[in-house]
Amino acid sequence: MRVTKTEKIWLVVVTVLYILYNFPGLPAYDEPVPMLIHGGLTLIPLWIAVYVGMHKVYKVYKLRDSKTDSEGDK
Amino acid sequence: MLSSTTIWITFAIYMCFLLGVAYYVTQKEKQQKEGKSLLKTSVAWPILVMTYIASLMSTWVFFAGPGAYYRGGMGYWLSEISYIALFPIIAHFTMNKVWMINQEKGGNYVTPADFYFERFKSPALRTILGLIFLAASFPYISSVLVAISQAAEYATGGAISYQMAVIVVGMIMTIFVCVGGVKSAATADTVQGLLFIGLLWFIVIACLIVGFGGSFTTAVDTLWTNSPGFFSYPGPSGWVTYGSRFGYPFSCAIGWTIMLPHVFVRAGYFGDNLKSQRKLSYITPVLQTFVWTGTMLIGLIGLALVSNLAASDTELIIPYMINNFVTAFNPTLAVMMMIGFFVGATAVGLSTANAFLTVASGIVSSDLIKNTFKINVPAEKETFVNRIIIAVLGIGSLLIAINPPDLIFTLIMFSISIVMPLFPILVLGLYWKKATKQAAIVSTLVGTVLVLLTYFVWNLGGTWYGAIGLFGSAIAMVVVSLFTQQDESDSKEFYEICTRANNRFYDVQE
Repeated sequence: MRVTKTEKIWLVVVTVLYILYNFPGLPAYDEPVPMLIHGGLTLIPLWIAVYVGMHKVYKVYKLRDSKTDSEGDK
Repeated sequence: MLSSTTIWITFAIYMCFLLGVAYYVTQKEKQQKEGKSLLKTSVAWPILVMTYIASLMSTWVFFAGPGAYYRGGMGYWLSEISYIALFPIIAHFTMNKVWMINQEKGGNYVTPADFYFERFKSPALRTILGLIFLAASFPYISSVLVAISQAAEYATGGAISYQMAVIVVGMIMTIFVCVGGVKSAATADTVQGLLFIGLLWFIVIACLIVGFGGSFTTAVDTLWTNSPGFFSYPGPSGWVTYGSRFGYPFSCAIGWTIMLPHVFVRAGYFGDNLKSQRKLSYITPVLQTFVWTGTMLIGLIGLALVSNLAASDTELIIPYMINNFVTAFNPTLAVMMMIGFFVGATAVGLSTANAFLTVASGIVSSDLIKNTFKINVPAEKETFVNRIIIAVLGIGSLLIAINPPDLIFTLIMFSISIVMPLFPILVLGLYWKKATKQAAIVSTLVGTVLVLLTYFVWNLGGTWYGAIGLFGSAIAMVVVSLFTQQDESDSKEFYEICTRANNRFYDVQE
């Protein structure tokens, strides 16, 4: 399966943000405010990256107009 | 709270609804096409989205979820938000490719192992995978029976015994899937999915009104004062450590939303076209977040109201709040909520169990009977044989449920963990031509053994779930592939199909 440049960028950005969220030691235990800040700084960009990336990748992978997409047991 | 008569009448009405849906769907399909398999389907995007979400909801939203948030707090919710976002990217790189290849092959795949066989052409691998997927099915189906039966026992104050409820619910579930098959399960999911998402939020709002006069700020303030651990890692029970903050959502991202057999076939085989597959990717994270947030708020309100529940009781926080707080506020509302909770828990649980039961019977009939033991069942007897298999599997799960572990969460997470090591084989099979069948077999075995060691020897199951097995499987897949060879003709057809499917469905503009 071929992987386009847009897909690679999408994959790398999302992976980096996911690693950032899971970076050990951050935030400190038993600290409510840092937890919320940490969550906001990592998870909001993660969601944005997923949806923006999805939109861009789907633009690269334009769907062909096929009326016989599914040959399953419709 | 509720009499046993109320519970049985509720059961009966719900069973009538399920059988009505099954009858409607099968009659409609008979008019369209004779001899349809019970185990395959192709559905439009609204049904695809709802059956997928309903399968994920299962007993989570009314039992394991509120209990887990009660114990894990806000940090646990954040960890869930981290994996929910990943579905579109994982689906794009894996399940949409699986969907295209299945379509190119005529939409004939029934089980997850069918796809792996297409790539690796190994009957031994198909058998091993069939057994692992089957092994994941039993604990999950049992978790549903356990949850619903505990709800029945709790709601009636013990008037209905746990064992009796397991038997009755198990029989209802089995009969429904025997009669209706997979499309009726998907249709029922759609009808009831939205209804019970609404019920979940009704419970949230009602408990907030009863407990804190409708003020969310008061609930948060109370929790901040009495249980501040809710708002930080590692949570009120010290459970969401840095390790489990990664191990748990990572396991869910791979195991729960992709690799469990009933979601694998939904995400990879069921969509009627690629637009439906894309809508699934767009809508699922948002809808799942909406549902999971409601579940989190139940845990939050529950902990704000009562902070000393034992771990096993936390999964019954909804009926606990109804019994101990709503009853004093308004007895009629409490009865209505208890019935709603019971029906909701039954419905979302059964939809998942039905989905699992259907795909598990496909595994037995296709992966084991047909392709391992080479027994050819005549086409006219196929439906009958499938129904027998469904009945046997349903009764098997029922027997497991009679003597369950303390937490439903444990059953669910073990199912997820045991299928996680199969993910690297899927990815490398799709994207790496050098991946061999020998490597796929070794990596399946290595990954499975590592998951079993994680749980039963190292006692790390509650932190790392299937993550160690997945990493072990990935390493084994690469290393063994480099040291082994497979006839190129085995995978040549697969990659030709990939190319044809790509050209058929996509116009790549880069």
